[in-house]
Amino acid sequence: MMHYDVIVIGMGLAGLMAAKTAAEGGKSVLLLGKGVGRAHMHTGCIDLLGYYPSGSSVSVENPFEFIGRLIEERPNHPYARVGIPDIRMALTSFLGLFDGQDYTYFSQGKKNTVTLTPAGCTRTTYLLPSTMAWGGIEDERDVLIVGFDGLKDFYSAYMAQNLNSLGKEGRLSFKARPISLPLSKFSARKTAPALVLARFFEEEGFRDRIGEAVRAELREEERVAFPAVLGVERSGKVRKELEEKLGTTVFEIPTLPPSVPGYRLFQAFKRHLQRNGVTVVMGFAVTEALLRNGTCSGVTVTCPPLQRTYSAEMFILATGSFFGGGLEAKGDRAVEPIFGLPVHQPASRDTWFGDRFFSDDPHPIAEFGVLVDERLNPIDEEGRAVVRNLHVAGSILSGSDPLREKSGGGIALSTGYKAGKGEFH
Amino acid sequence: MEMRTQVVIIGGGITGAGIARDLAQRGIEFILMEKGGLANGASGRNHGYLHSGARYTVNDPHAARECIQENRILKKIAPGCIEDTGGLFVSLPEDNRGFRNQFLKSCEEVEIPTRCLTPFQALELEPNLSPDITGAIEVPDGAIDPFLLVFANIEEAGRYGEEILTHTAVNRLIQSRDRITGVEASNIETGEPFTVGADFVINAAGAWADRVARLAGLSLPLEVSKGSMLVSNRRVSHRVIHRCRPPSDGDIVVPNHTVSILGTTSINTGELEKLSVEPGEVSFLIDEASKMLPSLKGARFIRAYAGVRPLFKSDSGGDSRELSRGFVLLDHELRDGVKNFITITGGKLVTFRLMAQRTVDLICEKMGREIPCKTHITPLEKLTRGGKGRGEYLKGLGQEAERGDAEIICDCELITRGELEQALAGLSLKGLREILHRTRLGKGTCQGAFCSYRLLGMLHAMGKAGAMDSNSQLKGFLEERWRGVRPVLWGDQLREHQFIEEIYLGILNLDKAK
Repeated sequence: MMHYDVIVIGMGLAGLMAAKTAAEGGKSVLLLGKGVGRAHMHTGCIDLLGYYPSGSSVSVENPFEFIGRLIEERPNHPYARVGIPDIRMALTSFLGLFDGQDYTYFSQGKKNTVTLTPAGCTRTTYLLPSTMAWGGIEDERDVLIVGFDGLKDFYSAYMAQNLNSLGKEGRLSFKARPISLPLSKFSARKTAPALVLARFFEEEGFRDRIGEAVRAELREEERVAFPAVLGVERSGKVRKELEEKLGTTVFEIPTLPPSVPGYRLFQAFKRHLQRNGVTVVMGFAVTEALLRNGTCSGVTVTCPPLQRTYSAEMFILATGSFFGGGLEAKGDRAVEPIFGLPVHQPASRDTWFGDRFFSDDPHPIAEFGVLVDERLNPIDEEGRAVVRNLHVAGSILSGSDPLREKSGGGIALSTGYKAGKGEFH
Repeated sequence: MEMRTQVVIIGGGITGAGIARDLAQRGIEFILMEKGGLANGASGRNHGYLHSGARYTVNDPHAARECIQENRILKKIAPGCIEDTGGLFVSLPEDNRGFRNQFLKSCEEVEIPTRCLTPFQALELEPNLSPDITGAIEVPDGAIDPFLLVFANIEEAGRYGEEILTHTAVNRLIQSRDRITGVEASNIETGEPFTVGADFVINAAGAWADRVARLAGLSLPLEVSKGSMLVSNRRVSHRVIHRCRPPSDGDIVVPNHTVSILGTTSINTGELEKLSVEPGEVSFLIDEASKMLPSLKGARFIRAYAGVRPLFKSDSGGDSRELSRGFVLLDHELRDGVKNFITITGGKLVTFRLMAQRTVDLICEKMGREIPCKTHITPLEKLTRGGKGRGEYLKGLGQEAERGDAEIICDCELITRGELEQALAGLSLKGLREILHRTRLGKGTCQGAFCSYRLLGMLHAMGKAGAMDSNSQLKGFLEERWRGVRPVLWGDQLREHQFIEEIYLGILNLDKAK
């Protein structure tokens, strides 16, 4: 049996961050995950706190100020378990992943940035990849939005029309104009998913041809927006070269998933972890925890016909909510399938959801999850420890509504960081 | 604004659509008014089941005869929206053998062909059937796409905005002595009122027929019963599977393209607009259907929905299943002394053409003209051309993919951009919902989560979006979708739902969009 100091289960941001922190703390770390993780399904931005309370329609300008309020008002929220100092440390540690690189992350000081979505509305986030730097709505320069016939998850005309109607309402002060380039004119393919298109952009010839075509379409615009497909490994360079060619600033707008910026983020973590000696085993689901007297000695991964057990001193569970598989909804009950941890939830299935999909009140199910103490050790409803050498991080935790608060990235990084630091009883 | 026409049809379900086509064929002018979109009521909320009539032979041989006759006609005139699956009435050990024998005998009397199968033969045809079945009877049932059927009738009948007025409320029937001289209506979106003078008014409002009759000061003994249905994410049988017992709740599973539809409950209701499916109905339908098809027990369900059946009350009253499933044509001249007002209600999807024929025959009689009906011998053009099978379709898709041309917009139902562009090309836009009903878009496992955004994107790219507020359309669609998916959110369907939330709330931020 392979033995480690720490086994982290889950390939999302929380698991990646936990593995990074534990490895940097000198621990031997095994990271296990059944798939590529949630980062690929999001924008690539790190949301910290966009709205508080979650149903509010006015976005938060200074997230730390509101996190302070949230911690006072909602003691069971994951942020309250972590505390502001560790949230800051987690973000600093995250930014360290990109030290010395031309693709990096930034924020506008302590403030949130309001940026653009592929539906042509705005969204509030905290850390942005440098390729999205010039996409904020405070910038008043007009934008040419470039789409591709053949990329089905990004539509420049749709975006532009909606942005321009926001402009008419006085909520933006720039104009957007769409163009759509037929992919078949620039490559042998008529259609390509985002990641394939991103690889095309790594080729100088393709990039040049696109640059020429866009320059020919430019009028007064000083900004050019592309879907988030500007390269995979060398995005900083790709964007810079396009800027030089066009003589404008160039920025990316997220697409529907899978997300290229999410992929870049995952790769940055993976490279860093492997350099730091973390064993990364992907594609195997953890099916069982070996528990005895409230302590875990190992976990079993199964991928028929293979079955294998790994042992460790401590474990970190960051398997996500329902989407990630960290929680499972049986007909009338939500369960945590690996450790069998208690899941905080209402008594009856009738109250899992609200009547309306878009509702200011959170759907109760959003707050389902594992209860933890201030060390992120799992506890039951009475506050008793359940598994002593286990920490829990990320969206499997109860007490938040990350999609409406726009807090998922911050919760994942900060709880992952704290779990990876490993304070145990 | 004032208009004048020969006939005003109230109701844009299959009955109204069939009448419109029949009138158009016989050269009679009409205007059809519908308060929602087309196929908004029971026509768009049913199993998509093409009755052979077998289900009614025991209790209602008259309705059964109409069904089998129309079943044969529709298979000829509209093959493009029908899948000629056949059906099996299966018996379980607890089912009464007496009913089975009676069923066979009455099918023979009504001349519905049957074939008796041993359990072994039935399982060979339908391996998902319970191994406990004691026998099965094969009948000529089928599956039908009700949306395509409504749209095909409408498209042959008239043009949007001229003869076909959707999202139009009928506010008043203008009466003068023993006649209705016209209709006061208004456009629901703009509020703009207008009147239409008419020689005849046809009430084809389905479950809403009583409300329309009240506008003429009349009332109809109409009972409305809610039926809930459940859609599984894969197709569990080739044929329609029935329980061979007296009609009751949860006794049918209809294959429909790539999914199966479990039906149905029957609950009397006064509510017509906001129908919800209760959790108890969902578990009941799964329990009952899985007695016939046990693999449904652990299946993934993608949607639940409910429709309202209008049932014309006989004097005896009683259980709504006892009421006639046949149709009722009311000449209000004879019944109430209103000379030019006709109500057509009840009936089945499969008998819509016959209902239209009888209605238009009555109008011709009142006009004193003799124009023969041709709807039973004229194919529905749209539905005879596009009738290539799924196998052919997939073969074509494979070839497109090899050429690198196939851009699949709907990953669940394999609908390509080319196919969608073709569907959108000749279409005047009537909102997202109507477009979705014209294709299989939004009917697969993800229930439109990916493709509704893509569809809007394509509309913009094609310059067909006009001044449409796409994000409101998208939000409206997701809100309606929510009513259907909410009752079935557990297991994998809940996982997918969280992904969908991630897209619309996390990435697009639509929850915060005005």
